Amino acid sequence: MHYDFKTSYSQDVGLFPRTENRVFFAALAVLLLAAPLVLSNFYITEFTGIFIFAIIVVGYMLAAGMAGLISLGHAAFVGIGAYTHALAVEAGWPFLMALAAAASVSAVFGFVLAVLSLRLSGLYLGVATLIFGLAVEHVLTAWDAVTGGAEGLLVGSPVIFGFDLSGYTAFYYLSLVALAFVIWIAANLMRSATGKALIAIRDSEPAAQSLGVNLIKLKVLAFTLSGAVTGFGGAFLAHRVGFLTPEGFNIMMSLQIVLAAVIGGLGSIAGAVMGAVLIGFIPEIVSTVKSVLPQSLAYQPGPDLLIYGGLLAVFVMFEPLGLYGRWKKLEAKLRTFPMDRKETFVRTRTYMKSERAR
Amino acid sequence: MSLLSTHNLTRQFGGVAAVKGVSMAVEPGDIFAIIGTNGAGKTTLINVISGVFPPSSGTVGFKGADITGLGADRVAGRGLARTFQNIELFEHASVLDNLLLGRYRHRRATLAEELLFLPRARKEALAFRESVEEVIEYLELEQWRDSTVSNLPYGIRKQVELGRALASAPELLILDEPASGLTPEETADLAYLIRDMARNRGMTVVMIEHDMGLVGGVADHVMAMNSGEVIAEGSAAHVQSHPAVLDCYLGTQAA
Ligand SMILES: Nc1ncnc2c1ncn2[C@@H]1O[C@H](COP(=O)(O)OP(=O)(O)O)[C@@H](O)[C@H]1O
Ligand SMILES: [Mg+2]
Repeated sequence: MHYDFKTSYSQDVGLFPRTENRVFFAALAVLLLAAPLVLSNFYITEFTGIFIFAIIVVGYMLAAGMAGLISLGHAAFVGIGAYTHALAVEAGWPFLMALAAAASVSAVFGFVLAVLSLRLSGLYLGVATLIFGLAVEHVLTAWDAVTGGAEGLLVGSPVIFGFDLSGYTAFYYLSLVALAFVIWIAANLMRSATGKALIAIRDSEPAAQSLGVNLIKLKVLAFTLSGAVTGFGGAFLAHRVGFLTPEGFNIMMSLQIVLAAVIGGLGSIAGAVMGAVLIGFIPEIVSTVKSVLPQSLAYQPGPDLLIYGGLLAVFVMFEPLGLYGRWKKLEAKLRTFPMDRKETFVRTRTYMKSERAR
Repeated sequence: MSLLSTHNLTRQFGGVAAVKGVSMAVEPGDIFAIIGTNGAGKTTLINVISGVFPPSSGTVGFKGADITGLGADRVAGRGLARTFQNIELFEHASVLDNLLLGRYRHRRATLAEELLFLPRARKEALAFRESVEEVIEYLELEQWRDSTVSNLPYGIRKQVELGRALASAPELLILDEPASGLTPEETADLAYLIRDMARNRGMTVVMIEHDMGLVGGVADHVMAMNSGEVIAEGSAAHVQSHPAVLDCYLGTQAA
């Protein structure tokens, strides 16, 4: 058995319960803040994209991982956020207001989708959200007077208080701050009663209700918040890609979001970020692999899909708790080193209470 | 006045009445046991009382108010907590989070305060954590605090479910077969806890139970059911020796 030693209740409520956590996150912050000094523009942009994707996956996690409402059409929220933001910027709205508009409009769509699919769960909810995703993509194409349709929509520069932040490095920092903000909000939610109620409706609806949780309200809330955060990420993605087309928000993107959440570990914010990092680097890995493959193999279509599918299979089979689950085990092992033993992670035998340690 | 009362409560599934015209009254501070063979309608009765589904007819009163047809979440909000015959826990959450959910109905912070973790949300999280610790000590769950529920042995899971109900600080606690699957020693502990909750902690307890030793040992009032109807009521000794009860337990159909 592994025990976690704590000395104060605030450790269970705080974001960084242990000194190691604090040291780790401080080091990570320093690294990420210093990275643009040494990275090439290519990698700065690459990292920026991953921060933004992480925002999107955290948004997805609120509904899918926490509340158990698996959506297969989350790219729609990204698209709604991206287009709303781009249009607002085009209309001359200040950046922060446009951002708020993107989050709000996506939240409204999350709300409506939740109300429409209240009675659905599991596979049926998946199909409903899939259709929602297709519908939004279709509307974005068909409504060309506003969205530019298939021709696309040019996205203005992010300008905050007169400062143009569209440079590689400036936008890197802007996205990093946005990600930190979203993680902070999500972590706050999860240490509060409402966040725990999301977990409750995921694991047992009757029990949740028996404790005073209003299922309908919580499900709607989960989708609304998830929509807001995902759309918020979409607004940043708009700047990252610079030019929006509806097919940028297709099923493939929805699947990438689902994959990142599953591979990272459903139900944890850290998992969302880890999954986003892994999935975000896959195109990079693919092109590296391609460059060493013989020509005939390298230009076969669909290696990405193969890798995504393979990764999913590997994780489902060997580490259903995802990257985060693996990390937790490693962390506990390091903390108890060199006293750790293999048995620490062997499932505890099921003792009767009479055999319990007193 | 009774804390909980039902009047002519009936619940039908299709054409079959699982509960038929049950009227009962539970006095504050009492330990009220419901006994009866499998399929007698005991679980259905408490499902209707706790708002899992509405009655087909009849009324439920709790703390002087009519709560007939109120949803389970709203009934819980009024101070009724329950456990389930087949343990219903939040499997992928820690024991701590399970217990913390017991506090849910007491939350006061708004969503905005929670999202920004403003002082009221922080204070509330700390206060919840503290009151949950009392339950952990009371039920001796210290060593399982951070364990994920799905990894726990059966007896502990039952304790956690009881703890979660206790954490909500209910006025009325309804237990559906709390001793089923427990060892005799665990059952003895449970008897002590139930008595302590009713005598010293101001709770009223309604429990469905098959273990007649436990019922005889703790219950102030026993109600026996068969085929959805009340067939006997009174002290444990009275109900246990009631001919109708003996009939259905011994399976004889004597007149
Ligand atoms: N949700 C339900 N739908 C249909 N029939 C049910 C439902 N719940 C209980 N019943 C039926 O009601 C009767 C009483 O069941 P129950 O209340 O669980 O009995 P007990 O708890 O006394 O063993 C049984 O015949 C059972 O099949
Ligand atoms: Mg039953």
